[in-house]
Amino acid sequence: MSEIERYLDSKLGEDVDRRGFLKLSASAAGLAALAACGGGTVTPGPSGPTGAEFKLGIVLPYSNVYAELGSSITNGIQLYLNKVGNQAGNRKITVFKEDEKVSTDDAVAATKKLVEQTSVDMIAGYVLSPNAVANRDYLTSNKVPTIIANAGANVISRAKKSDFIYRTSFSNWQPTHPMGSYVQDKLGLKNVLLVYANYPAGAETAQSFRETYTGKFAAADVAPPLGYTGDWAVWVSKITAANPDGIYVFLSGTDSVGFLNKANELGALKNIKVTGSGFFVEQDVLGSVGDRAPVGAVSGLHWALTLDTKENKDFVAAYRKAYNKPPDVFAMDGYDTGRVLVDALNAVKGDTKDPTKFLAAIGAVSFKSPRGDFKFDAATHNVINPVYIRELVKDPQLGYTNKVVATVAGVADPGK
Amino acid sequence: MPAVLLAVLVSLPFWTPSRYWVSVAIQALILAVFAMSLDLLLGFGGMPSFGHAAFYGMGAYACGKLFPQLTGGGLLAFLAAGMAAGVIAALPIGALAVRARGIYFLMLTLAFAQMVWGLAFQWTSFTGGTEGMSGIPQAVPDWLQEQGQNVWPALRTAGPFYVVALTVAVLAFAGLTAITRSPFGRALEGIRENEGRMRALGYPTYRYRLAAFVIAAAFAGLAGATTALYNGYANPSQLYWHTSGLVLIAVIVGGTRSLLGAVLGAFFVTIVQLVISSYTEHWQLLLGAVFIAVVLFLPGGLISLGRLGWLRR
Amino acid sequence: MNGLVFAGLVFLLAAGLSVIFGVMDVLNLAHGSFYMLGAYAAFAVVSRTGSFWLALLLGPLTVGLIGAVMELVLFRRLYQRGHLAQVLLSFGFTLVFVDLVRSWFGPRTYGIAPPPGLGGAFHVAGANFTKYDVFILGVSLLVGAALLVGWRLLKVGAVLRAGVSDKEMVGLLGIDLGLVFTLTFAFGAALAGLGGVVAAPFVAIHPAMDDNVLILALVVVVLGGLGSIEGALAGSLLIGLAYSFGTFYLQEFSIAIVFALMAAVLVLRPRGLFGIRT
Repeated sequence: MSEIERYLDSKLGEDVDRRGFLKLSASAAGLAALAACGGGTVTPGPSGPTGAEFKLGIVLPYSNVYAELGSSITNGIQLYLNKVGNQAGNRKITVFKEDEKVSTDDAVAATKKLVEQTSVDMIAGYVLSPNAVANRDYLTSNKVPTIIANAGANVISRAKKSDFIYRTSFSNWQPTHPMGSYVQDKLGLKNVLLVYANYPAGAETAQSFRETYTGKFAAADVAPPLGYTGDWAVWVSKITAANPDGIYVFLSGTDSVGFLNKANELGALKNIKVTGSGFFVEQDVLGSVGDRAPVGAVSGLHWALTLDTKENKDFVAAYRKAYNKPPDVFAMDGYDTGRVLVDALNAVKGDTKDPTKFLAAIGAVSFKSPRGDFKFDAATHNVINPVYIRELVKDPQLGYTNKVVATVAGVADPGK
Repeated sequence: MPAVLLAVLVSLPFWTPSRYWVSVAIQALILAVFAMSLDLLLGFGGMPSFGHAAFYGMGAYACGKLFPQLTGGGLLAFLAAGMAAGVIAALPIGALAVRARGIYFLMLTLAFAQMVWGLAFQWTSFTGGTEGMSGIPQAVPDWLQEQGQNVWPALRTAGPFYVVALTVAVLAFAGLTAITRSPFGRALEGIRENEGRMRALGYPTYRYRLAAFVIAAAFAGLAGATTALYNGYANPSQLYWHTSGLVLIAVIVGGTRSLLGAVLGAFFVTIVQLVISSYTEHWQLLLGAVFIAVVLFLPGGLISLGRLGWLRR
Repeated sequence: MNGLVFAGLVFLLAAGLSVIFGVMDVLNLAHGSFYMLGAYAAFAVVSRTGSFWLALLLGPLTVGLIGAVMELVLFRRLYQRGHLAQVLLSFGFTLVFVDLVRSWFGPRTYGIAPPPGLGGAFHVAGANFTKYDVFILGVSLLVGAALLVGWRLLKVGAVLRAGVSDKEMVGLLGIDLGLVFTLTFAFGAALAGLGGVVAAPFVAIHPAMDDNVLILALVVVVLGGLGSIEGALAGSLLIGLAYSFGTFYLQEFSIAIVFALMAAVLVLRPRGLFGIRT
């Protein structure tokens, strides 16, 4: 196995994580054995932390179609933890990873393994919303402090809110909400068509848009099934037939790639203002569509690579140095997740015996993140996000990237 | 062999090093019921189904859709609903599918199962779409819950549910064994071996095959209901062809002509999947290699290991 | 038109699968993996040499070679063991291939642009088509025609058709069935690889791309009839159009419709539309 690791490092120059993971697993196995004997006090050298080991369990996809996101988020978490020397509150932080895979049964099994066998002190994770929702009851009844590092389902911050679960990423409602009025007032669009994948996240996005956009819709929403593998021309032709002056798109990953590729080739987007939720022009998509990127597209997201703040510049530089590529929004969410853990652990001085105090510390964190000011909304346990309105440009050095043109601060999920 | 396995399983909560292994055992037991049901169809009936997950998933969705109404009836109501859902779905599907044989039956069952999956995946208003249905209670009877907490406090809710899962598995095993050993079961095997001859002997082979299909679906629905209760949700991935593939793999790996083989296969697949992913990111590579190795070197399945030196069945 | 292009792509996949099924009675779930390998091969070749045409040549060749090795080393041992053993073996391979691809290329999603000359669209009869769409259709039709000719007219076709109906007889006639099988498997794999290369400029290239296409290819092959090229053509057409129209008009039931169609055909004509095998 180590040979493959060395080869991978040389070939891809990214993801230091893989090698690190094995080392961590080996030491974790040893530590777990110690811990299993009862007590589990770690006493490394005099300069290291002296408290009990703090185990962070990460459940993210490392295989299948979302593996890129899982890898990004993990890189982000690891980057922040490495920055503080993998310790906080006088406790050494050890990371245990389990593959969320895709099916919910697997995600639940992965969670159970971390909670029951590895006895983690906290869980971070879930790219897919169904997996986050499915684990919600289990994590709550087992009193495991949890940070959702990606899954956007509104319900996690609303009906299924939990005392034990906080979200550092976004709710599907957030990035889109200001966009409705923005496209209408600032871009002057009067006849818009919604394009989104036909699943709950898409529906939640559409609804959020409709809350602030009061103009006309050119036609019924264009809603391809999630993970559509047929000819995207079918959907692009619906857009052309409706003849809107603008579209608002919520597609991500492979759906966005398929859509943009076909739409660009057909020239369907030439006379239409392209807008959307930031994911459809995020790094993973841009890397795949190359020159077919919709330059000029206006999107809303709680971050942008080009955000001109010290925190972000430092983050981007550190990420590039560690992983040989620029970060994406998922990595940034991971980075903040790491920070939330560290800050909370420091606040309670490493004493997590009382879950209520620890959770309160998590809820109270406040810092300057690469995205701006980071704070949780106490009512929803969801992060209060800025929404950056960005425009896709072709930068001579950075290639296709999103430049911030406007900012909407303090967008908090309504919680209902 | 079955006795030893039973003894190990019954005593597990007492000597398990952590409640995690009880969780694993619950998962394995649910897959075992699912696998046994497929084995009736495949091993005894000679009908290779690539769509058995449809009935498993229907069992789960029945619990998901009806849990407000079912909660009053308790555990048995949920399990019965699961079996009923399997039967109700199997009647129309089976009536059409059972007319086919071999590879065509395989594909037809796949088609029907993917149809059901497609509905679950896309018909968000009725099935919850990609998110599925959640909030299903575990429905463990109170007296069992209390007993479990008293006897195995460290296991929390896993202990009492383990009793449920084990009971369901044992009853399913007993029931399916009885069926396979009955005249019906014998006739079914006869039809598997030589349908023409059975028909000549006067057996209504179509009806026998349909009956086997429906019974298998009922037990698959039972497994589905159990998993819905355990995890609290019903989800399209339970209906996807990967799930049909996984249970098929479990039956093949275990040995197709034996219910015990199906159980072994289910345990093997569950444990291998969970154990491998702890140690390496390349779990798919290793899992794939394991399957390939089993195919090449254990043609009779795991159960054939036990038969070495024993009486031939 | 959109349904036609998609049908063309599906045909490239289904054709190989149908031939393998029909001639060798082998159920190969790793066929989707061949498609994926073809797409990745295209990415590898294009990103290194910039030539899509080279990819079009090397991709199918590479995948065909992989297929040949698989058949020689592993599948060959399982012919007596029947479909279930093949299911297990090929399923194992899908896992292995996905992992290898992810280890080699990383979890990232890749893409390549269509070759210069095939980019852009044109306007015909009120609708827009991309030049690349035409290319896909062209390739599919060419392959379809070549296969039909080979199947029906050439000697190799006669041998294969005979092999479909009566393996023993063919063996008795002194034809080296082993060689035939290896070449058939390799050819089927190469066709899937070709499908992957052809699809590459428009799809997201990632380690889970084998999943959906495999099921569609299986549906088409069985629908059309095992071992029948005409069947694969008809099946691809039917499914391509059904999926496109289904998603267009009946969004919530588009997937269910495709499979309901498959089920309906199989119920009415259990051998598939053009099936030969008894």
